[in-house]
Amino acid sequence: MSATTNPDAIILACWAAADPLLRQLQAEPPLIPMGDKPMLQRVLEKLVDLGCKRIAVVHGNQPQEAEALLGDGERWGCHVAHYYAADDSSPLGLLARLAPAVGQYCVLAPADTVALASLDRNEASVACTLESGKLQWSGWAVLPAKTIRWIAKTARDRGDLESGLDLSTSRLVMTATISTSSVAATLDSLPHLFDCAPGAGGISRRPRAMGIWIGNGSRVHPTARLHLPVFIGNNVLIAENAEVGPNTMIGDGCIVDAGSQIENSVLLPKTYVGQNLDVSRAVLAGNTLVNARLGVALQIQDTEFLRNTDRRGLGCPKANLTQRALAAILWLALAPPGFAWRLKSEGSADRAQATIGVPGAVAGAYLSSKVRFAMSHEGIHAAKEGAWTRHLLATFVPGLRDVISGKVALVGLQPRTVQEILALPYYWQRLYRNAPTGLIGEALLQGTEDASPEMSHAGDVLSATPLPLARVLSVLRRYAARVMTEALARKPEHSGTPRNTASEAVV
Amino acid sequence: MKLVITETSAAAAVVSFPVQNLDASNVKAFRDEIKAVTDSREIVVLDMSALNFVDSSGLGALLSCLRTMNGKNGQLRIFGMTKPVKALFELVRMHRIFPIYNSREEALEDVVAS
Repeated sequence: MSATTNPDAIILACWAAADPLLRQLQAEPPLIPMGDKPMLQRVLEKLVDLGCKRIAVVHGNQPQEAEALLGDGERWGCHVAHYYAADDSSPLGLLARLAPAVGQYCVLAPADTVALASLDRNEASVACTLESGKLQWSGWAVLPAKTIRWIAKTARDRGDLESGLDLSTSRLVMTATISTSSVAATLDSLPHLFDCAPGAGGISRRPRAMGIWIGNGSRVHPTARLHLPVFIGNNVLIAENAEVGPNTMIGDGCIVDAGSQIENSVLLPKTYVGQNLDVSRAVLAGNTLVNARLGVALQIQDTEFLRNTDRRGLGCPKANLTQRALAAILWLALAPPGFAWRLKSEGSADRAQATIGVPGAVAGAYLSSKVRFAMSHEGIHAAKEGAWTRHLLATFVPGLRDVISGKVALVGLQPRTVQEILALPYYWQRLYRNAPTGLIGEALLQGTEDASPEMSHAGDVLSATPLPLARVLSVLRRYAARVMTEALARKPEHSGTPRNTASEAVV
Repeated sequence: MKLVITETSAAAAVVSFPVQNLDASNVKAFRDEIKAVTDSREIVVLDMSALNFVDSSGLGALLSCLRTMNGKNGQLRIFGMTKPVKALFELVRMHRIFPIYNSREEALEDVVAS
């Protein structure tokens, strides 16, 4: 820890959550993620935007996470020094040591609230909001040195601090805030968070579409509906017929199971929401539901409703060395003809129509759909002649590069025990019921039965770990058989008549 | 469990819970005891004011009562729901299925009148 003299700003991160509902979530307000970053990071970035270079952070209990998040501030081009209140009952005593030099000003900021107004660092002011006709201090102020020293001597807690600021004579700056100081404040902040521009306190990540942010590795079922604005973190699963939004934030690793509706709410990371549930104006963390409208917190014991989720079983698998080597061999063999085909077919007007549709690749949820073996049965029958060849050369071969680089694995449905299957979200369980062999698309490749809706969206399903080599080779063999059959069938009859190549494949 | 049953008329009864929880540990007893009431009354009013916790088995038992009463063209009404139970009902959408009243008087208004 390095000290800083004459700090430009002091972040007060020394108080536990005052809101009893927030305490039920066992979440530290400064570390609650608001959009793409924790609240404390937003506070720091706001201070940097105001021109603060030397920032002191006053910590209370268990500061490790907050300190690890901010580090020395180098990442943001500032210098951050961490201080620890020796007396938890009077953490503000440290301010006497931290007060700036006489005649200078310092920005005081809470660790759980960002004031969206622009403050003049060279003039004393207090940022307030208007709630129910009453002035409420946001926690942000620009104060002269003597006021800071006075606070250090007389104030013991937030209430003392606020009453010490004379709101009637200070220069008031009216502002909106983004805050995690309470459950209600967190939910009320969402519209401001979504409305703000990235540089003004909004979400920095690029939106997928206006008002919709979807993180890496997240999958949104094609039948799910997103009502903007909505923020979806990384590695999130939104299942079929789920409805998310408006004004909703889904944290990293969450699952929203089939048919559930989430609006005006926050799901903290790694929360599973079961099927056909309604969540409105609430904050969820694991199996704890805080209903802000009723002002009540629930611990849900039934895991089919709410629980913590371990996403290990549902993540995007990475290729192991064996798969990467196999992909490299295939790529070396197929890339030249693939390149030649691309050159030859460049400018073809109906190339898109002739390509086999790969389900689950839509909604922008899964980045690399290139190595899927699950096909839409309807797509195969509707595909023009040469569709399998096109898929091999235009989709599969380029996708091998992702496998070689280790980004994705050759996929299918991983064999699981009954207990493991029962622990999965419901729509995953249905997939296992329809594909008991554990290999999605096997029935489709054999062309022996019509695809159920689940099978036709099987592209959403990825195994937790790469498939065993034997299964990979089995699937590749089937794929190759289809392509070869199509290629051989095309040679004598090049009339352009569509063929039902799916049903003719020998597997 | 020993449900407290108050007969308000020949056709209606108010059933109160003597416990704070309706869960897997006592749901069988509830089902056994409520059966006698649902079999003999056209209107059954549940006083939920003592209940602070209901789990999925408790919800199932309440749904079962509702189905029984609806099946014989009777009515199952609820009043006095505490906030935790209300929050759970809203979560699982059961507040859309059950007639929920704010007070005993409201729940029995038409029964008393008749």
